[in-house]
Amino acid sequence: MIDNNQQFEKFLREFQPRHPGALPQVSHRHSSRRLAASAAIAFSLAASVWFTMNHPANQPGQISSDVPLSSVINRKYLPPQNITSLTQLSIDDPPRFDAALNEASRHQLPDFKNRDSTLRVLAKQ
Amino acid sequence: MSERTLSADEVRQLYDKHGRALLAYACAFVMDVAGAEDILHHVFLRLLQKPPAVPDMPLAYLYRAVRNAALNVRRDGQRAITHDFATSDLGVLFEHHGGNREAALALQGALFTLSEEQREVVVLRIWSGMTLEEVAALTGVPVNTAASRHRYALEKLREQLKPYEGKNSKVRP
Repeated sequence: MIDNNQQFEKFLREFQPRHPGALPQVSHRHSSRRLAASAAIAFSLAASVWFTMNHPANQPGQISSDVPLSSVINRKYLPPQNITSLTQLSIDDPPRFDAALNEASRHQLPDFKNRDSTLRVLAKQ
Repeated sequence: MSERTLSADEVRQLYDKHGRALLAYACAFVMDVAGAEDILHHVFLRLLQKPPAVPDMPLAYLYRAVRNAALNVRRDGQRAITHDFATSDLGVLFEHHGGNREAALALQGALFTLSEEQREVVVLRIWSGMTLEEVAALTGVPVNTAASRHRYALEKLREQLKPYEGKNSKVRP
């Protein structure tokens, strides 16, 4: 039986699977696109960093004409976070109030979700 | 066991050397030769594009990769598998050393009448040249199971290929 099997296996080995077709060429199109995109992003980042370094908004020590002197002077104060404290500040210390508003305007977007917001009204129109 | 990444040349060499056996192995699962070839290309192209870390002897890895890819294709129904061998064109898988095309087609048809487990074992044993221990390790069954699958497969094949076996032995002394 074992001999028979071995003989039959030998017969089967007279057959050979055909060779599969040649491997398709690996496409480099996607990788080169990715490379180009990465280069573009890197270039724009580098350009913006260079621009920021060479053209700062205000050189140290230089005061822009449209910024009130009081706001620059009062930078050391942290801006109050709510309406009540801002109102109080406007009464007690107007220069500091100016500085606080100026500072807040740099970090806060207008509240367009508020029902009375001008932006909301404009958006509806 | 240490692992390394295959170079593109090594991948192509593996394809040239083992492509035939791997094609037959993929056919054990999808039966359609063109589909099996697609699977093989998919596996090797992936190796070329994103070479993973493979064992120093990558053959077992390759067989596993082809097996998994073939099972995935079949599961996802990407290829309609037909069992009507008389009317369907599954492509030619085998070539006979003596040029007996009829016997080659008969072998292909006979293989497709085996169960998948039997077909897998017989393909690995005969055309990949694996020992039954290696076949058992790859297919994840005990050696005895692999041996009995192989034995039954040979019996069935012999039954169907009897006319060609005799004819060929007369033609080829």
